Formats: sequence, C-alpha cells, structure tokens
Amino acid sequence: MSSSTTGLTLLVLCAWIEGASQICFKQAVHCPQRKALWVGIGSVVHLVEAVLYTAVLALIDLSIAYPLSGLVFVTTMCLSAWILREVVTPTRWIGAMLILAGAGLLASAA
Amino acid sequence: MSSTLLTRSRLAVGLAISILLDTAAQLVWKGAALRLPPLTEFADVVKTGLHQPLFIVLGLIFVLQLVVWLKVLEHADLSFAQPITALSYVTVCGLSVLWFEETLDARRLVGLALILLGIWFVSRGSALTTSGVEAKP
Repeated sequence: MSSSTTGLTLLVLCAWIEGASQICFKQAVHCPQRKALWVGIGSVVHLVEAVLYTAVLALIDLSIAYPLSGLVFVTTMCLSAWILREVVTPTRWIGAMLILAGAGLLASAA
Repeated sequence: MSSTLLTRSRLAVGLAISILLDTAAQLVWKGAALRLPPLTEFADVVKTGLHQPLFIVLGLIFVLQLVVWLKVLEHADLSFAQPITALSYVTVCGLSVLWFEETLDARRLVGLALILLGIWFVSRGSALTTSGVEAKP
C-alpha cells in the first residue's frame, strides 16, 4: 500500500474514532453512575484520535486531509443510529451530507 | 409544555456556547501557532508550546468545552447536536477574514453556503433526545 493510501485509510479511521469518542460522551450522560468513567474513556479515545491524526498528516497533505474533516459528522451520525439507537431522520442524513460537501469545498486547496 | 420550552431554550444557549468556544479555540490555536518560532523537532514544539500562555488558554477552553458539551448532550440527540456545531466553520471563516486577513473565494463561499444549508436541514424536526434515560414513548 502506498503511503497516501495508508494515510487516507487512517484518516477515515480517525473520523470513526472521533465519532466513537462522541458516543462515549453521550453514554456518560445516559448513565450518571458511570459518568466519570465514560468521560474518561471518551477523552482518551479523543486523544488517541489526535495523535493518529498527527501521524496521518505526516503521510498526506493537509490539503487532502482538511477537506475530509466533515466526515466526522457522517460517522457520528452512523454510530448514533447504530449504537445509541437514535431516530435519525432523512433530513438529518441530508444535512450531514451537505455539511460534508461544504467542508470539502471550504477546505480544499484552490 | 413550558418545561419543554425551557429545555429547548437551554439547549439553544448550550449549543451557542459550544460553537462560541469552538470558534475561540480555533482562533487562539492559530494565534498561538503564529507566535511559535520556526521549529523542526517535535519535542521542541511541545516544550515551547507549554510555555506559550495562549496554549494554556487553549487547554482551559477545551475543558470548558467538554463541560458545556456534556450539558448539551443531556437534552439533545448526538445526531442533532453535533452537526449544529458545524456552524463554527462559518464563524471561524468569518473571523479569520477579519483578524488574520485571510481571503474567501467563490468556491469557499459555496462551501459555507452548503454547510449552512446542511445545518438548516439537521435543525428541522425535534431537537430533544429520543434515546436513553430521557426518552419518552
């Protein structure tokens, strides 16, 4: 695998990891008796994502990585529907896709 | 009915503060990065960063952000609240133009418009949580 393929794969993985940290934060408010534990896990997961993202930037250009920052809205929505069983309406999915597209345009190099 | 209204307005305030803190974090981060001398070694970057007061401010903002965010999630679906925070793309862009004299071309303006449209779509429908302990049948 070339370094850019590895970089892109890791970048997508980062978006899923960040989504997972959000799931932990939502779990924290769902079960107050384990709040500190979930906040702790969520924070560590978020930190892992930050370190991994830094490594990704060494493999691929920011001009490719930054436009994909909107991916996290889609991955978090998938995990919200799948793990938290939230009712994700079609309008929410459309919204997340538009934000993904918008972030792509906003951050891509001219 | 009025308690729902109260929850909704609290949620709106919480989301506004989240977006504000996110925006502040991005701008402080950029400001702090601009004050760093050119460095090559990662360890040097970390060491210098710890002595730059703006990075300490940044750390405090992150902690505050988490506290407010947990409050927001008490009332709202994650699939509702998180996309709303994408509004900080718009505020960060606006303030970067004002403070760091960055420019916005047509392509970026279209990107911002798409983000706003996406947030508008997400904000349609119920804001309050449908999952977990607060879920109502």
